[in-house]
Amino acid sequence: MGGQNIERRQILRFIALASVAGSYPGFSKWCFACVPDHVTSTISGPAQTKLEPFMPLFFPPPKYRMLEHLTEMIIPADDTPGAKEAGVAEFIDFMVANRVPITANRDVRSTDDALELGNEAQNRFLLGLDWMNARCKSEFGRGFMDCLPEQQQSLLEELAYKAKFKPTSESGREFFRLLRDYTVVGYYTTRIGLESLGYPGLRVVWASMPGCNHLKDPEHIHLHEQADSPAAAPANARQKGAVCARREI
Amino acid sequence: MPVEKFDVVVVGTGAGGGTAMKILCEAGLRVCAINSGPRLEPAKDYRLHRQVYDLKYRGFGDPLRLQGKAHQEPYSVEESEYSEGHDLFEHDVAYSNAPGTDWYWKRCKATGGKANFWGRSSARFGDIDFKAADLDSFGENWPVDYAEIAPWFSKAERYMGVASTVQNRPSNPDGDYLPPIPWRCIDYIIQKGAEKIGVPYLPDRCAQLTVAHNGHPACHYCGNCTRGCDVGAFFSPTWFTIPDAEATKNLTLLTSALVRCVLVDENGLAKGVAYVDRATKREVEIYAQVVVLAASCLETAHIMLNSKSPPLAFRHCQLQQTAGSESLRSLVRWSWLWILAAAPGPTHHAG
Repeated sequence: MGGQNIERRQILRFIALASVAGSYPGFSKWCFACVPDHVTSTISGPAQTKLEPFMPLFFPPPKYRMLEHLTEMIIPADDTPGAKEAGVAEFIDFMVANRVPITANRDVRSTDDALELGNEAQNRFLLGLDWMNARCKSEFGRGFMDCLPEQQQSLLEELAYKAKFKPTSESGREFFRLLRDYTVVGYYTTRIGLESLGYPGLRVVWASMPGCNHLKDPEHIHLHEQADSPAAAPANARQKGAVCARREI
Repeated sequence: MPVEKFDVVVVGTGAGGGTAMKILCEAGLRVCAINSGPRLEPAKDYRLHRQVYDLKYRGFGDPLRLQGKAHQEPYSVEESEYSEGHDLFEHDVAYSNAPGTDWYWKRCKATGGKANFWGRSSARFGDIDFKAADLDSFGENWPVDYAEIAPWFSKAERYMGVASTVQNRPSNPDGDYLPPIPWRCIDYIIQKGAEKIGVPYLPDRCAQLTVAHNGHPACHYCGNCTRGCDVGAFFSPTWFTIPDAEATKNLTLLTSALVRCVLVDENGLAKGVAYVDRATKREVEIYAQVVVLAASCLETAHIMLNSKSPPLAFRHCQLQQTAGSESLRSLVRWSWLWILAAAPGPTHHAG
């Protein structure tokens, strides 16, 4: 294994094995591979191996639907898909059910720490969703999901934007922070989310490192003074043992 | 039945141990290398080209994965869901801290050790380091200087493959380098800013292959170095020194064997080591002419402290607690420490 020349095609083989998407039974949107790389998956293509409706692991269905709606309000579909299509609510349900600490105000230093934070998250989500319903009932006479879109939007903005904070919504704001953090993490760890960022790391094989190649970009153009840069023109230095001698510091 | 006696026993197969076993095996000696944990196999243990959404817990890991283990704390960065479940890091042997302290000890027990995941920063020491005591009156000078060690740095760099530029700074002497890694946007931005306040911003000496080197492939920039490289595009014992040693056929590699102490004969000379077989929990003795301790900074000290009567020559050693550095410095520094440790001499009781 060591010392052998790994051909490009072998690298591509690793990648092909690694990124075969399996489907995890019970998910409607979330595809991921749990099989080890050396075991070729027989599953290919999008999710559902079963035709049963999706059942959340932790949230009662009405709360799950509320979560789905809230996450889509936080990251809506615009020119890129939104949280609903990215399966963010499924992610939250799965992580909360399995007590995986996503956000923590302290280090996780043991299994007990992790489970304590996980239990805390479970409580905070349930209480937070209850708080929102109670607030809507008192302000609009209906539960959150039965309110008009403008009413839902106005409540969310009151919890999200500093200029709109009210002293009575402290616990709602705390819940919003929790929800927003889980939503953002859940979205930007999906293929959809990473593609929406244009994340270069989705490509795992680069023949050479492109480095800063924005030579014509107005923001970068002033940065490139080829004669002075210590690591300038690496393409010219491909011979083995060549070094780029530039500025003396 | 004659008891097998090796020429050398090398404890640990990381940066120091891997190098020692390669050099000694290639010199024709019969070497027994002993590793605390299992054999690391990149194809099985690394899962680098997975994206985060390919992982069951999106990279956060199963919160129950360490349940019941003696050492509960997860190791950051290197031990992640990308390679979890393959028993590479030490969780079966716990440690405690003195009251009021919180020492965080990173222990990779698989073959190759932390050097499988190291930061690859490989600057040379200069005389500013070798003769530091002359400059600031702290500690001790090294018994060598830069001029003497420079050829060895070159030898190491040519073997490993280190990418950097010529910088003409005595505090960070230039070496034999591969082409540097191209700068990213942020590098240019920082360099322009740093220049204004007189701070040099320069490429590090990175043990990463920017071109194919001695049969190892060039890096393809998948970005997962600190989770272990699955093609061997940077120096690690797993891809470089251990296979070289094995190719000589002079190596016996024992895994899942936790060395407890150095065995010493009646003249005070090391005669071998005693280890605990993790599977059987029984103690086994291995005999050799020479003992090399390269079990990581703290564990080497631990083994020496466990070794008794006649006590080892402690006062000739500097057990510097330099944990954390993952550069070539450790390699150079530790090669001296084991040379000093093997020497007998007037003793004081090591407790």
